[in-house]
Amino acid sequence: MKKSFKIISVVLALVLVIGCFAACQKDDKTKEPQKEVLVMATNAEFPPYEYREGDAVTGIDAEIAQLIADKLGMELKIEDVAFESIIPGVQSGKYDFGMAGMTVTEDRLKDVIFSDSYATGVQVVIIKEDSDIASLDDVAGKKIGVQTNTTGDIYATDDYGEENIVRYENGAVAVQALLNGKVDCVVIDNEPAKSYVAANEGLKILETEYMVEDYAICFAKDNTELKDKVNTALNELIDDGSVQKIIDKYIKA
Amino acid sequence: MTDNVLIRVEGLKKYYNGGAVKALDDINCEIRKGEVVVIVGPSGSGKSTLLRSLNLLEIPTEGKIYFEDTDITDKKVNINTHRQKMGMVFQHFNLFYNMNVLKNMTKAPMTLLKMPKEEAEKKAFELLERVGLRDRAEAYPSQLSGGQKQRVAIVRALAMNPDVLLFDEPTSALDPEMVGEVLDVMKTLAREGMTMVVVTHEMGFAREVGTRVLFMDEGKIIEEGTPDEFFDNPRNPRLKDFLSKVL
Amino acid sequence: MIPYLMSISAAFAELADDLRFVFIEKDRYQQIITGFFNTLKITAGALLVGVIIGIFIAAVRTSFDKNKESMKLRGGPGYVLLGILNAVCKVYLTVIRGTPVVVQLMIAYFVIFAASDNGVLVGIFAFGINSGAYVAEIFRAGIMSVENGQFEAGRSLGFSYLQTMRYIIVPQMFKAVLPTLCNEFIALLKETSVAGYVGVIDLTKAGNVIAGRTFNYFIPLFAVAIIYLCMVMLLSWGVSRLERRLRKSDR
Repeated sequence: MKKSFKIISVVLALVLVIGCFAACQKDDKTKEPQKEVLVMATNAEFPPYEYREGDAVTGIDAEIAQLIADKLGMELKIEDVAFESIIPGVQSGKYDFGMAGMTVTEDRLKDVIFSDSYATGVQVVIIKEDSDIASLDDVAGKKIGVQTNTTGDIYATDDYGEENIVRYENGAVAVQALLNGKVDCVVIDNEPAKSYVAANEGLKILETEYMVEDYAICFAKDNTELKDKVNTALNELIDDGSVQKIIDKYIKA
Repeated sequence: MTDNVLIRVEGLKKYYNGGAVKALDDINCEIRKGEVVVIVGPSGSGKSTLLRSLNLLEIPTEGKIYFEDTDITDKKVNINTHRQKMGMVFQHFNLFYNMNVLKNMTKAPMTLLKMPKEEAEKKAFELLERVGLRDRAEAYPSQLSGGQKQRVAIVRALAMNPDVLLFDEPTSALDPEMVGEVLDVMKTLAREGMTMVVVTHEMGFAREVGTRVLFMDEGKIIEEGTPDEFFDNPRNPRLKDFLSKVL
Repeated sequence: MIPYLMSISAAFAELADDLRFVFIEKDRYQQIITGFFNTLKITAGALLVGVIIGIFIAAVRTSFDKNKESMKLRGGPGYVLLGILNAVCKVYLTVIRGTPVVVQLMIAYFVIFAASDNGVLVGIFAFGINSGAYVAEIFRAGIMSVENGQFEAGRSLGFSYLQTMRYIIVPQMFKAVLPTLCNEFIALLKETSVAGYVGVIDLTKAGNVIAGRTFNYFIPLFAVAIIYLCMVMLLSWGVSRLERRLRKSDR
């Protein structure tokens, strides 16, 4: 009698434990989100490509990324980080991809791979209306304000020399420095440049473009699978005009 | 004004909180050359305030203080030059912690009296010799006992060749066994004819070396006299009460 | 064992390669040198400005506190003047200590010295004015911590207020505040790392720029951290030596 009682209790206990496991597993399954999460790293200080509206990051890049995620059947999550942190974060796998008005450069290609280009960025030179800078040649030897570590910074440093570059945290500060006469011109992306010139009296954009560059999405080097999937989706979106629609929405020619 | 009056206090008042507290209430008195005036009284009676008013460490609310015929309460008077002639010894010694004994004694004569260094040091050593501390000239205050500190404080004041020495409870902060050595120095000075005003609880000292004793209570001088009449024949009941407690 | 060693040596070779790429290629180490000297210039200049401001404000504030009663009784224009100065100092302390140094730096750069394009100079003033507020309070607390008896003893010997301060109070105050002051200087050194906001290449910005160019964050940022650490350790060492010398009178 006693023995059988023991056996029964052991069996009961086992059933209980297994049942619990099963229940837990079931629980896990229901808790899991429906879609896989796609984490995008950006630096929301680059209007109109990415900027903050309230708490949400919005802009051309954010909208295109959303469409890509929709196509891939994944849920998009945007992380707003320092521009400098995007590539290391993508390399380490912290983020699935980086999308921040980022230009393909040789240096960057050492660390990451890029998708096809989805937009063309143009670097221009902002000057004061009464400036004696009339062409790109005149920029040489002048004090150039840039946004730290942007393509404008990198190219201008290479072209005009370290000693002529003054680096600021963001474009607005660089433009303010130009207004105050602390620098003679600002090398910056064309789109934000238009906004800055529109917002501030006495500024204009030098007619000759400083540099034309292609924006692309970056991935970790070993993540060609995601790159290919994104490329397919992106090209579909370019072909059906969705990308252009988004760009037109933000940039009124 | 008689020739030998050194300090004359006229209608001295010190009020706090707009008159709510009267630390000194119409004090009139004189200190003559060569006198050893001892001020006694219960705590809070205003005796320290009176003493500290004599060199304007306390600014009187009202009244005049004449020192060597100059009204030092006059705003136009440079109090610093008068203080040079009024040495003061404090309850807590107040030796300068950042200077050794010798520097404590020579800094003021050299700076204020423009005394040459050799002369100031020679004088300092003589004074230290007199109080038996010549070998501690290089010591810092933190290395001295309380009694030693107070003896240095006295000779520091003397190094300025003052006309009067003001003592503010000079033995109150000392351990009992050190009181004697300080009182001995003070007695010697008194015998040598130094003019002294002493606030103290040492009744023995008052009796032995005091030429005049003032009794203060509630900001007023209530009774004064020679030590003999003061201690043997007190008239005021409050003084009688006080003496019965301290003697 | 041998493959283990090989992997270690391979790691070292890789590190050496990274170091060469990060610092040597395109003479990028120059940035660090420029940054180091700019950080040094700003810190040393701000220190000087801060101590001068600190002494002045501490002098005004303590003079007012120590003398207001006697000056009120003795009257004269000095009381009013010192009262006004004291009030101005209080406003300065409140504003400077109540706002972040980066904001002050930006205001100095874009508003107060809008005409100057010398970021280092603006940095020296901005950080100096900021540090001055903290140094003033350190000095003031130091002066207040010196027993009033020291002050009275000085005055009773015939020293003027300023002489008493100079010969007796300030030397004692200085010794008392040295550790706190050292902490303030260390804090100042590290605070200058936001100088990059006004276009100055300081040590931090130099590291950041190299990192941005090479996309190697580990090496430049650690290099910068090590340089800061060495500077702080050197400063602490110097102060502790000075402290030991000053403490002789406390044996």
